[in-house]
Amino acid sequence: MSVMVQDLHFSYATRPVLAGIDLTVEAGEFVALVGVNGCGKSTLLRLIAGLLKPSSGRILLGGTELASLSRRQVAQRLAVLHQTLPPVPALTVRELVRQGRYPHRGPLGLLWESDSMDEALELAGVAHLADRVLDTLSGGERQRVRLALAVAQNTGILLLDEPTAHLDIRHQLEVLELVRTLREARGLTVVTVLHELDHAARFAERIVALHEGRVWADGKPTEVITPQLLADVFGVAGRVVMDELHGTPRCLLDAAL
Amino acid sequence: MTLTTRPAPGARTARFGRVATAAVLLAVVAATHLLVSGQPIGAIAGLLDSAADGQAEKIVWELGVPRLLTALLTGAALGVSGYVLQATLRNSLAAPEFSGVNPGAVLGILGGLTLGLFPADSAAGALLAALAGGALGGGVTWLLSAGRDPAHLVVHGLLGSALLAGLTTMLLAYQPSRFGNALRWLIGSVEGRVWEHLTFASWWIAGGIALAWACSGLLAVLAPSDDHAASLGLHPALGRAIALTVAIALTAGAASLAGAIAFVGLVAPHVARRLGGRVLTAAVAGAVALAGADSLAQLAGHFLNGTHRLGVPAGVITALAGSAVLIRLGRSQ
Repeated sequence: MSVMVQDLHFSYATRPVLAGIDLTVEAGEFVALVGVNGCGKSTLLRLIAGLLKPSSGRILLGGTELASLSRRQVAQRLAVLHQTLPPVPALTVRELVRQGRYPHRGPLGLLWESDSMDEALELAGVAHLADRVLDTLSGGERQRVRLALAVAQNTGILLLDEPTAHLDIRHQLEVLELVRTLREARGLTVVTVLHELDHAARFAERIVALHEGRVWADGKPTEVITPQLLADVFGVAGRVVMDELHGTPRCLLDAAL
Repeated sequence: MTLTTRPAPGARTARFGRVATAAVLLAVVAATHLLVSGQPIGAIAGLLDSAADGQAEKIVWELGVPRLLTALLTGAALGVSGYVLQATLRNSLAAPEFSGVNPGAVLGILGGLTLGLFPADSAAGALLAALAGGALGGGVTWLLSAGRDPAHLVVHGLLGSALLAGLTTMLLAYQPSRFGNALRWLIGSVEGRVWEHLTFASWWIAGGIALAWACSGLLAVLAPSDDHAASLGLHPALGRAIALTVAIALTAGAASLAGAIAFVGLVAPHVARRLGGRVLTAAVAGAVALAGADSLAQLAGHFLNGTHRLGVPAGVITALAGSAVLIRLGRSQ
């Protein structure tokens, strides 16, 4: 399912955050949003998720105007992995993943088990954790469980807001590899906010760099990740080298400008 | 890729075990409650025999059984109400008595009685007054905390509760002669309730618990955060309004039967969650807790017999036992 953003503006009170964003993500694409803190990338994600109302501009999900969809219809089309999931006492993995059925079956539907839930647990590799209490899991395991919830939601679009934040490097890779696997298994359109440029270059087919509320660059990792991006967007002097094994650019950071 | 669908082995047995445990626990508490009433065992056993109609049987049937049912229903209502409040407000210290709802309901009942809006023995009148007061109490809390994080609601709930308790005190100070009658509502007691009080309230509470159970999914989706709920297709404000309405209705039902019973609504949800249960477990935990507390109250009443004309209200026991449990919970976390 495609995502189309046209001339999108958004301000918090009087502070403009997004000043005319145009972005089209084709069905099945894997796009990373990068930029410094406060550049509006999380805001853009929340706008696409329908959690914020744009000041002006249009958002289309699979060709349908977002504003014309109900909350539940939006939840049937896109799943969101927010930065954090606040702890809930005694919540088990199975109970959380079952919530993925909510947009499809409504509140009464959660009272009974469902097969697609087991499938989601398997696909995310967390079936063995099904009866564990969520708060007892490691950060990496929690992210996998939350991805299982997104799978159970059975949507065409997956939005992720810094899915690797606060994870150690092994689990960062594990989570991004799982996102790639899920995307291939389900034909998902993935839009993710990523802090780590090397991860963005490695896992995304396309990188959109936001700067001061606008799209500063949009293209393949090799086109977007340049010393000029590091200098102009991130304020860092650096070099970009080619990782021969993966064919993706890598950043060597030298100094803050 | 082949996917195996695992039909959660043993899930059905576990559920059966739970239901059986709950049934046994309820039966034991019910039997204890009736036995400590001081009526002869023969009269209690006579309940099972429709032909028995002696004086003792009559006392058990017309006083003992309604008192037991009042304790069970009120406890269940408070347990579920507390569970709903804790899930919705995302605070494990949320409880009917700390959210302005319970003090509001008590104020409603006493206010209604003082103004003569309904006769003292009217069950429906007490329920309506409790509902109006509970909604007012919840509303005050809501206004105090408008626009803030729902987790902060509990602090404002305490403020609102204090405000309402102050109003209740003013009401009593205005007419001190009514203090004796008001005491049972202030402390909370299940004594002296008869079948007429129960008929309406039992349907109300049963309906409220059924609604809360039907809202299980909504509560689950709402519990982590507003963003989480919205991303799963639930308007957080709408979900919260529905859940809080159910909680107010249940608290008002409980208050109309037994007044301000403290701590059951706070502790029962903790017990339920520790046991891995949800709405129905909270109902059973609340019912068992209050019936148990009232059994103790009756026992204490026997010991104090002769020195004290009034029985010991169950509300005293729940307040004492509840605070002890709460301190334990607080230390173990």
